[in-house]
Amino acid sequence: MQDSWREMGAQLHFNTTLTGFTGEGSVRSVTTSDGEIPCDLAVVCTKKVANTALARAAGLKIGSANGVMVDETMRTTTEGVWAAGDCIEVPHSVSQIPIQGLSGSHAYAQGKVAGTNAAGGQRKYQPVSVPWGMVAGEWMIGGVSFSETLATALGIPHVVGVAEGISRARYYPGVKKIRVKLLAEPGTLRLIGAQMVGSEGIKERADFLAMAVRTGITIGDLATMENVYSPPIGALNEPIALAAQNLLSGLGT
Amino acid sequence: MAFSRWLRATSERYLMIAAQQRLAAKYGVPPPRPPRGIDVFWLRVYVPAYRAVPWRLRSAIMRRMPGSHRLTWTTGDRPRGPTA
Repeated sequence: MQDSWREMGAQLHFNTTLTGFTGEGSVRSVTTSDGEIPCDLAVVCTKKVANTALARAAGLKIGSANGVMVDETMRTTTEGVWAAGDCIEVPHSVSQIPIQGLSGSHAYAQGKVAGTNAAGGQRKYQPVSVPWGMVAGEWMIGGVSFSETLATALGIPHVVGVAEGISRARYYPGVKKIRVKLLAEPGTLRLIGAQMVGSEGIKERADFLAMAVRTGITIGDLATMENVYSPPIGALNEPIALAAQNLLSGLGT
Repeated sequence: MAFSRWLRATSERYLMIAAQQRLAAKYGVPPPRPPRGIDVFWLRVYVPAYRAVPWRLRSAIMRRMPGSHRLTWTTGDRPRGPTA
């Protein structure tokens, strides 16, 4: 990915601290621990922090992720009040620990649940596995639930399987590599996370793996999964299955 | 910010940096910058102490913290057997 960004003209500055902006009326440069970098535009990317001031003032309880506490119906701890979106926190499907600041698709689904229940209906939301994907240079990256870094950070016991596959038949024009990393719980070998990099099909695999995490699918299930073999759109061997098979091989099973 | 939220946010930050250091060494990629100032305490004292606690105990402590997970969240029973 770094090579791809560089080929597209980007200059990468790792371990560099932003110390300020210069310019009057508009930004002219950013000052960093690596020196001054001229620019016409600065894009600031930070994590989302829920604005819970109104909820707090209304007496709603706030959780450890700084989100409004809700149950599966999106009902808050105050009778007759429902909440949805970035201001709430919901349990992670693997750890059960609440997390906050998810995607627009999560917020939309939560809003439907909250609205339905507030209007007297009955609808439930589920703990989340958080599939994600994005474009990175000429590549796509994506994943679900725990990455190896996050699992290592939290100290969650895990085993890892990695494989490199292809997106369509190897002889077909436009074939691209896909690298898949799967994380599983030792012992049960239930899937707890995945990371992928490739040029196509990342989003669909992330969605599929999110359902696999939610339903408790094991590496054994994935190693023997069926897959579409259609030369223009699907290779003989599914990269997810190859990663699962490699994980099992690494365990000697 | 309540103490539990501050502890969680600060803990997450330094646990991620420590994990990035480990994986940078494992995969041969650039590590995060070396710790400075208060970073030293969190990375050299807190992180090893956190890792010394078994996951089951750590998980139990985290689940005792206030949050949505302590309200009602059910997972529906899934039908088993043939569908047709």
